[in-house]
Amino acid sequence: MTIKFHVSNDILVSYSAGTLDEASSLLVATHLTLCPHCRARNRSADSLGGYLLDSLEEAPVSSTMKDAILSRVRSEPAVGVSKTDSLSRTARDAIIPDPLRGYVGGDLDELHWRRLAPRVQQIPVPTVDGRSKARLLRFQSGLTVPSHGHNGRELTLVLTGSLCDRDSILYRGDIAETDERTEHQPFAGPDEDCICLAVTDAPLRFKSKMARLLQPFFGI
Amino acid sequence: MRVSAISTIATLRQSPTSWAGAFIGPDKQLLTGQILGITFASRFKERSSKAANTQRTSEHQMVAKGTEPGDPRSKAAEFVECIAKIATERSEPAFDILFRYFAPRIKSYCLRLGADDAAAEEITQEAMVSLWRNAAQFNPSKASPSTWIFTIARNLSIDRFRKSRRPEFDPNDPALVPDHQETPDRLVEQIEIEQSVRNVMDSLSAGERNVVMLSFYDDLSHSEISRRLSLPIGTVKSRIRLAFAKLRSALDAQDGAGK
Repeated sequence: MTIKFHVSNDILVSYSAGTLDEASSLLVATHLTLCPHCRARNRSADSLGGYLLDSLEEAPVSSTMKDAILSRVRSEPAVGVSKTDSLSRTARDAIIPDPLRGYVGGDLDELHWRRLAPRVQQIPVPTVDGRSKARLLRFQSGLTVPSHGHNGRELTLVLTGSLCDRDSILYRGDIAETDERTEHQPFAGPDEDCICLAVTDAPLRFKSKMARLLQPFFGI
Repeated sequence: MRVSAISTIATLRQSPTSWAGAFIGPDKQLLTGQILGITFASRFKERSSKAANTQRTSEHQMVAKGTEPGDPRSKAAEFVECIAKIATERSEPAFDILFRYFAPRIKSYCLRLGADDAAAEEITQEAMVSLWRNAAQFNPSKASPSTWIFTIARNLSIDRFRKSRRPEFDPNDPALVPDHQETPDRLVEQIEIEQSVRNVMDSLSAGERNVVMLSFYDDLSHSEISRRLSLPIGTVKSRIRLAFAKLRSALDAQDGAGK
């Protein structure tokens, strides 16, 4: 299935600049594994960095640096040719793409889900910078998420199944980006469980009183 | 400030493209960062007003100075050769050429990110060592030397002083959805795409280029850029909007490249 919903330019450019938070960067990198189109866009965004490096004013560098570098590397053995692709390809396709797989500790069959709400399970994804929160969510097929709004941005990357959000249906690799003004009630497609990576930079605002009351316990 | 920001977003929203990241956050920095088209989010570092004052520079001085980008194509060709000579012959004269051009720029980049002189020296040295060691991995059909070296310096600086991580995809991951077969045409295409980004940047006015540079390198909020350049915030906003609209077309012109 061709991916329809891609990472937006502003997020892609800040990923290239290196200023994007770790959790969102993880989502972008995982999307890049699944999306050749955005890998090409990513190279363009990186080339913006190259251009800007070219146009920076020069800062004086210590006079001993070059010799220090050469004396470090001279004694090293010659560097080999770049490793070839596809050597480590296994016959079995991984469901959870790298780099996310490394963060959650394995592929789908190795994960330990925790109950978050009826018919919803989660796995928190730890990050070192703590600027935003990433979690893997598993919605049982057909489940409707209670209507909610957001206090900040939310990025959702679908990994299995489908997620219907407002007018769109998202499949593996698709990204939904919602913001403060979004009130929505996404639901999982009927055929299989929907697993997605969700990144939030502020807590969600649930509309229903019950969901609001339960919110602190779920930590969403 | 908030009202005008909302109208800015409304303008952006009229375009069918993905400015979905723009939002009105409780945190003003988030808001301004998003309008920039760059997500600074909580990356924003509060600078003291004293620091802001010493950094305050007239717009003229902020415009890209030092060595002009000149004709990067001829330089790039020379640098590609130098990197190849390091990979094949461990050529020190070739390294010297690269060092003289890139080391002062990498250091400048680090200083802009807020590194002190010692840290900037250290990262520059590590980046140049990495260039030597990984010269054989450089693929000139995927990126220009400047872009490749930028990514090395960026990754080192995130490691060393941003206290964060920047996950990357693994080209050997079994889950990777491969590019369409790379024909010679497609290889040319990637170089052309990089060239088109450069052409767009070259076509920007000095003022527009300036705001892109500041937003790419410096993690600054809107109002911070306006203070640094001594420009009204409205001018900064409109420049940013124009510059990123032009860049957007270059970034989105990838439809033939692997979709």
